[in-house]
Amino acid sequence: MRPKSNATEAATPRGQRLLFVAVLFTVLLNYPLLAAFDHNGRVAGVPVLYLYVLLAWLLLIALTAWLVRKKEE
Amino acid sequence: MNKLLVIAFSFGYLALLFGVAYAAERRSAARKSLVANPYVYALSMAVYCTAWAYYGSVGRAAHQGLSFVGIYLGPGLLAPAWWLVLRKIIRVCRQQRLTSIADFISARYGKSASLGALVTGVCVLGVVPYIALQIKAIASSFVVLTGGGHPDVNSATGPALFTAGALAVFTILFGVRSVEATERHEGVVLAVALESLVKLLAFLLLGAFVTFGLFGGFADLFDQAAAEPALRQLFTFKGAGTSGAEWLTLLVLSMSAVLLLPRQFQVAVVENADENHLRKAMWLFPLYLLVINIFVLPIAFGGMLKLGGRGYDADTFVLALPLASGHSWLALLTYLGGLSAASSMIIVETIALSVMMGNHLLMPLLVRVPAARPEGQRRWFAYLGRIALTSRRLAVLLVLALAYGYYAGVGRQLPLVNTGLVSFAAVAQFLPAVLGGLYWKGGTRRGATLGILAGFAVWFFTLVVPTLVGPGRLPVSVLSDGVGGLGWLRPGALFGLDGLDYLSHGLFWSWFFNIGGYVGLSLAWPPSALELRQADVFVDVFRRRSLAEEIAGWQGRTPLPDVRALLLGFLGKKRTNQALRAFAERFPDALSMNNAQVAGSRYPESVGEEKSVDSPPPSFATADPRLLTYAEKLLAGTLGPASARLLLASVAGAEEISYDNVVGILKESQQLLEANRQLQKQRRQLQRLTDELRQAYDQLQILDMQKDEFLYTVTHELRTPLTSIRALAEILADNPELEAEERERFQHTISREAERLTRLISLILDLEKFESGQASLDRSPLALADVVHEAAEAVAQLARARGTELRVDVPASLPPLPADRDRLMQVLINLLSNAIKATVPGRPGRIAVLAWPAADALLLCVEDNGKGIALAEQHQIFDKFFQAQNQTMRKPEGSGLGLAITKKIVELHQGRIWVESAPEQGARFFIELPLAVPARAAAPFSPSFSL
Repeated sequence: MRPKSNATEAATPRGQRLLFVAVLFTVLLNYPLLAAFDHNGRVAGVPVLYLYVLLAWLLLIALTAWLVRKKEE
Repeated sequence: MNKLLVIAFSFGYLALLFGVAYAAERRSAARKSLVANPYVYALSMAVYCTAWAYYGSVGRAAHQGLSFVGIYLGPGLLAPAWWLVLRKIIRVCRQQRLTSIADFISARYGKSASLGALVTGVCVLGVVPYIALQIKAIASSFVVLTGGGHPDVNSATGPALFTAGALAVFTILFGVRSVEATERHEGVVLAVALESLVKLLAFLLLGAFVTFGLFGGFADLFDQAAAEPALRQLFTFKGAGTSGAEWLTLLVLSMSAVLLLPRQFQVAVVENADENHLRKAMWLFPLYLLVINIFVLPIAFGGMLKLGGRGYDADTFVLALPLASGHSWLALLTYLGGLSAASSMIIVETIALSVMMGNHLLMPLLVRVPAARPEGQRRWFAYLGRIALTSRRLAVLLVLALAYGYYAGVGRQLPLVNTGLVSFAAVAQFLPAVLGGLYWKGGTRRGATLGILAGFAVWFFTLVVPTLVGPGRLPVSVLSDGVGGLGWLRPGALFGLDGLDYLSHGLFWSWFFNIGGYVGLSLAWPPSALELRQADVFVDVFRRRSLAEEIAGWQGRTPLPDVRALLLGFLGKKRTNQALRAFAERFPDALSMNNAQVAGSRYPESVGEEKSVDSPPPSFATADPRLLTYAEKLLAGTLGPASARLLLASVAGAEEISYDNVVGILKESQQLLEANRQLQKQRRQLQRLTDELRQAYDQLQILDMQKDEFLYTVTHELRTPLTSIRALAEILADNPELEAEERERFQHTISREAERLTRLISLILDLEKFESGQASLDRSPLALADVVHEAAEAVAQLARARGTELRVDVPASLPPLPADRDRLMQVLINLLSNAIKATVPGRPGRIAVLAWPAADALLLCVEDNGKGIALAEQHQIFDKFFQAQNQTMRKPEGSGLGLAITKKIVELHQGRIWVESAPEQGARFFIELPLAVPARAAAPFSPSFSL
């Protein structure tokens, strides 16, 4: 697939979905939402805040990978 | 550890890099690239993780907890949007042959040389301390590893200097090889990718050692940390003292840095081999950042638990932990990881800066010279090409010397913890101009210049000045009382804004003035024609090939050999010929139409390249404007857009883009777009109309068929009586001796058939009249009972002949009905005679006529006990000639027009007619006639029955 074919891809669902994911996770990983996890609790020994950031980050990466995969062509 | 051993390993490692880079270059030359794949691309992006990340993250985590993660999470959050932003930048840079952030901004805002120089200046000032930080990291890690305790001058400068020297050699050899800056540096990229792997593996190994070797896994480590109040409070942002603003600032800063840092621009844009590699890099690179950061907190807490209170700097935990536990080989490996993090950053950053410095600080000055000496132009160009390359090599040395000088001069005394972030904030000043340039056509050169200048000034004041405070430099009173004792000029609380942390405060004010200046001045002062064109080319890069790009600014009569000479000087023979051939393939008309000589100089290359190049045919050919634009782009890839424009101006005269021309074409392209939309709309309308037309046509076809059938039936019906009349007439004529009685019978038949014919014709005429809407009614109030009785009398004879009983039950008290008496009579006679005909032989027929009033109407019913009508036929019986059409019936009795006419007449009276029946059950015909004549009593036109 050459990029020539997707001349207007900026306006296609793929671009919009990716942008949505970026904005969503920026909100998820900022205050005020972050404050909900900013306490001294620990899960399996690991502080909740660390775990939350790590898992959200992983999910973001997985979502991105899923959204940019090539469609069957 | 033994110093010599460490030095040997350091240089052994650097030698390995040379070998890898050399191998990659060899493979690249053989067209078996090791580099052109998304994995190497993503790994090379990890040059983002410098020694500052390697050592400094642990140090930051040991004191501030999780906040360091913001620097790596930011790029992760931005990565999904790369599909929109970074891909657009890559596309623009490829199309315009841009090779640095300075090229990008300069080209976007009217190929401005001064803007390019400004951007380069900001980059150098912002980034050189960052490079110094890497050198410091190498030096101090060497000292820690060799057991020097504190990095003192004598033991640290030597290795730092040697390392800087080795990296300079590497950079010059592999990074600044060709004068064409658009060329990808496969050797460097592979080396950087390898270094990314080394630092990742080394750090993971150390992290695993600390977590699982020194401690019993994550849970044990965090349990022990939780027991220490000082560490326990780092588990939350609240406890660590990280505010929401600071966290957000870290995210935003790192987002802009990963896009705009010269080294990131170099690996992500210039070294990009294929836009599709972004797909994998968009998640591989964030994954890399996540993985390399997993063990940062464990190492930091491990270091604080094991080494806390022993005078260790937290930045050195990465080395000190394995050393303290007696694993010196692990420490050596970790050291090599740090060395790779530092060296890869230094190499790539230096390449990017050297190209920027050469192209934006030196070249614009040099290319202005030749205009004065036209005769020696060609030699001067060839000379300039060499100067460009040499100046870049010198710039590499200069950058490294500056960095080393900074490190040696101030770096060792200054706390360098924040240098990286301050550096980020410096390049963040480009973000408004870059994003605005990509998505806003209104941004102008003046606006961008003012924005960057203002942002840079505020950056310096709020973020750099505080670091200059100290004994022998600025007095502390600057911070507390403001510059010159002015309270509102405090670097930490500009205009009295306090309450924000150092970074957020600096970023807020610098962006405030930056964006304000950029947008404000852009709106206040209209752009030039060239800026307008460039804006269109940049913003609409994904759309249709921009019309604006076709506006050739270069016109006139530039001799072709001059252009060739220009290219030859900078690109060399081989590359020039390649480029011209590529141009000729793309625009065959531009060269071949001009002159055959040029074509001649293109093709014999295989035979005698030297001749064609060294002695260009003596032609007076002039270069096509498109060729000039093409040449400008080629040179832009070498010298940067501003210098290329100046250089071309020296042979082709000033680039003249008429403002009206650009505005006209942009408007035209807008109009084209609009026209396109309009066309689409009209096309849809046309489609709809076509559909409607097709439907109408289909209907017409059906009607036409009906008409044909009607005509066929009518002629058929007419022929039957005619045939018998003719036959009888012939018999009479041929047989004069026929008996009188016989003759009389024949004549009687003839006259009966003629009567039938007349009746039929008058029926058809009637029907035609009704259907064409010409029939009019002569309405007058009449008593329904009278009419019914009269009609019953008219058919009484027929009924008696069939033995049918006819009963009329119509009350005389019914209200008068406004109707045409003759037509109504016709209706009744039709219905009655139909009812009589329907009687079944051998069964006494009974017919009843009933009438009763309904709401503002009269209902009339003609009922028989005849053979009835099947449900399927109940609609068709009102059609013309239905009886005749129905092949299953016996010989038709009657014309087949009676019910059709009846229906017409009833409808003409605004009434309704319908039938209820079942086979062998008799039939009931109902007629409903309104008592009041509706306002629109004019002859109704019934489209479904018009012919």
